Amino acid sequence: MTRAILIGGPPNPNLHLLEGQLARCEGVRAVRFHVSALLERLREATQFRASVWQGVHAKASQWVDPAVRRLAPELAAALASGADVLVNAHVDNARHVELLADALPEAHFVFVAHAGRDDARAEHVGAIPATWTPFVEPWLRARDALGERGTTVQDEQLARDPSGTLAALCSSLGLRAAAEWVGPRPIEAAPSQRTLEALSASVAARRALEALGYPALDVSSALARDPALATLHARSLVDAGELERAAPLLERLARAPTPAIHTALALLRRRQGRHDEAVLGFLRAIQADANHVEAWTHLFAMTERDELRAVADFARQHPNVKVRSALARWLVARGLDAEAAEIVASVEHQGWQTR
Amino acid sequence: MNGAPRFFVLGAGRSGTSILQSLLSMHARLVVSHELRVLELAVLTGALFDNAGEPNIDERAPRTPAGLALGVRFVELLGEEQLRAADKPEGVYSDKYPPYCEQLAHLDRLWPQAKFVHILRDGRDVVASAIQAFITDRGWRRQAETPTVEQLATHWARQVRAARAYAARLPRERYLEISYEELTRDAANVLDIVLRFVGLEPDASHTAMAKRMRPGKTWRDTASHLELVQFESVADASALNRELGYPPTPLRPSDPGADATQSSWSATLTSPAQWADAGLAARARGDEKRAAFCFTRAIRGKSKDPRGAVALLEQSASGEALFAAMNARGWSDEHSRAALAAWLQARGLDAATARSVMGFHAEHKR
Repeated sequence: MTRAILIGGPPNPNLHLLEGQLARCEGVRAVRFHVSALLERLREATQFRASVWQGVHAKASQWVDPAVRRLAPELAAALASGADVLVNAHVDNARHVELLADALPEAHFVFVAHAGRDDARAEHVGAIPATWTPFVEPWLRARDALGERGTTVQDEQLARDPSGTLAALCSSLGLRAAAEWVGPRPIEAAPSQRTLEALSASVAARRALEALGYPALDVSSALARDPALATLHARSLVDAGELERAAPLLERLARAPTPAIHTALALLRRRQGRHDEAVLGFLRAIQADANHVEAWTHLFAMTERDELRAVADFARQHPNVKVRSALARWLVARGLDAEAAEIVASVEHQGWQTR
Repeated sequence: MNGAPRFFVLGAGRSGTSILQSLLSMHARLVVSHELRVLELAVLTGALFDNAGEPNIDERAPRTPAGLALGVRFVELLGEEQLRAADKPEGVYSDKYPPYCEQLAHLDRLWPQAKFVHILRDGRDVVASAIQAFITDRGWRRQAETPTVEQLATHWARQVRAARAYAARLPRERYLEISYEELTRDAANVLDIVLRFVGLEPDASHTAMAKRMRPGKTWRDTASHLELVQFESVADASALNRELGYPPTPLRPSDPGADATQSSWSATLTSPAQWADAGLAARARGDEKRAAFCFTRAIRGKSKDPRGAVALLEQSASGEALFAAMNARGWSDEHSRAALAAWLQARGLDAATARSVMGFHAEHKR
């Protein structure tokens, strides 16, 4: 059976440099491939096709997942093309580590950790944690269960001592090590202050940083001077259930509100059981920006509220399908049957019943 | 266990492929999946493999043998797992999908041992059934803009001819044609023929169900005069129907069997307004079935008479009402919106919400 070594982690060019070095070991073949995307796409495509089947044996979960799981080792063998060991680097090997660990029970996972890198896709500070946390949290969830099948490599260590780190990794993987690192050296790129502040301000990202052994910044002064960072922090407090810490911050931010602040404050009020204020907050967010989809979806999740009737017709004609889907769910919660709801909200043939 | 499809069930859409699939699946050693579209899945697997797993695949790019081999293997695994889930581990796997009619060459290339069972049906029934399905079917098929009769007839003829053209190159032991009419008349016998063709012995489990099959409605009951004229105007469809041995359409009062057809009373109805008037007249007589037929025709084409939708919405639980709602939801006139609000209320929504969602909120406040 082909042995797979899957390298993952938050976006980082060193993932592929490491893949190239491991491929120099005897019996190892490196392949650029998005393994989890193929498995996910096949599972999704098969489940979609099976979903129209109403027969007695149509329980797709009983046969789609097992078939996809059985395909995975054969995919690895096909990619290895006769080599004993397949090595593959992709950021999604970390994001989908749980799926891959299940589909490839013999595979070994190498997680290249770093304390955030600047990402041009994060146009505003609020988007920065999303470029890092989704790649780290699945690894943190999976690493205990992986045990010896999982290895963490610190990116900074790799950049400082590539040959030593490579030798140690090869040894732990049972590979006959290449003598030393050859070719382009790993790129050391310390994150900017802005990136570090954003990760430290997000409750979830901060926990992940600390779990990986990286110190988080003290952002108290940054929060005082940067409303966007403060909004990110406040929202992450609400999401983490730390309502008492979130409340004063959001109340201060609400003096110069944005749709994101209105929404965060409304979510806080809903969690506090102050539903009148929550509805008002979501409505204010929508009033400030009719395309603020999150406010719409949270608003229509408050199924018992009659005030939502005021915006129901507007939502019915909203161009965004997520808004209309939220409306359809609200209508069903208020007693309408699903077929009629999806027609009146124009969401037929959409996956509107789940968020 | 071998999950590779031993045969494929095909036939133009609305030709009875689903009934055949259901009946065959009752066999103790057979699983026939409903439109899993295994060819697409095999090709998708190959495309993803060739594109390094990335989903932005080029549909037109040729697939490598290694990619297609992985795709064929994936389908085999899906077959095996379905047989296992159905507790028929030593059984036979198959998939039914109408568009296989036009994909025989590809199926033959990937599964060179597979057989093909092609079910044929009178083209007029196929078209009439398709119209009804577009109006009333639950789920994905229903849509506000239904295809025209000419489009449906052309599609039917193209699918049937494509399958038969490729089948002419296959040995007899790999291709079987059966007829829907024969299946509904004598299901047990037709199923015996199909099962033996695919190498299985008939068993009792499906025979009992087969005996309960009855011939269904035909175009004589379900197509309007105009629809029959439109079908016959498609030369290829009309000719194919004759080639398949189906009797001609009685379009004039003097034609044999004309009195027995729907065309006898619908011969003068062409415009949406005429259909709506006929529907209202039928409803006044208490003939709700004919009324629904007329009202759907009043809103089925490009031009629509809103009275058809409003009348259908009054029959809140019917499939036709859902079709009417799909048409009327984009109309801004107060009468249609009020009918929709009443329909929503009849289907479980409280009155205030129903009226609000249809834009009567301001009026409520007053």
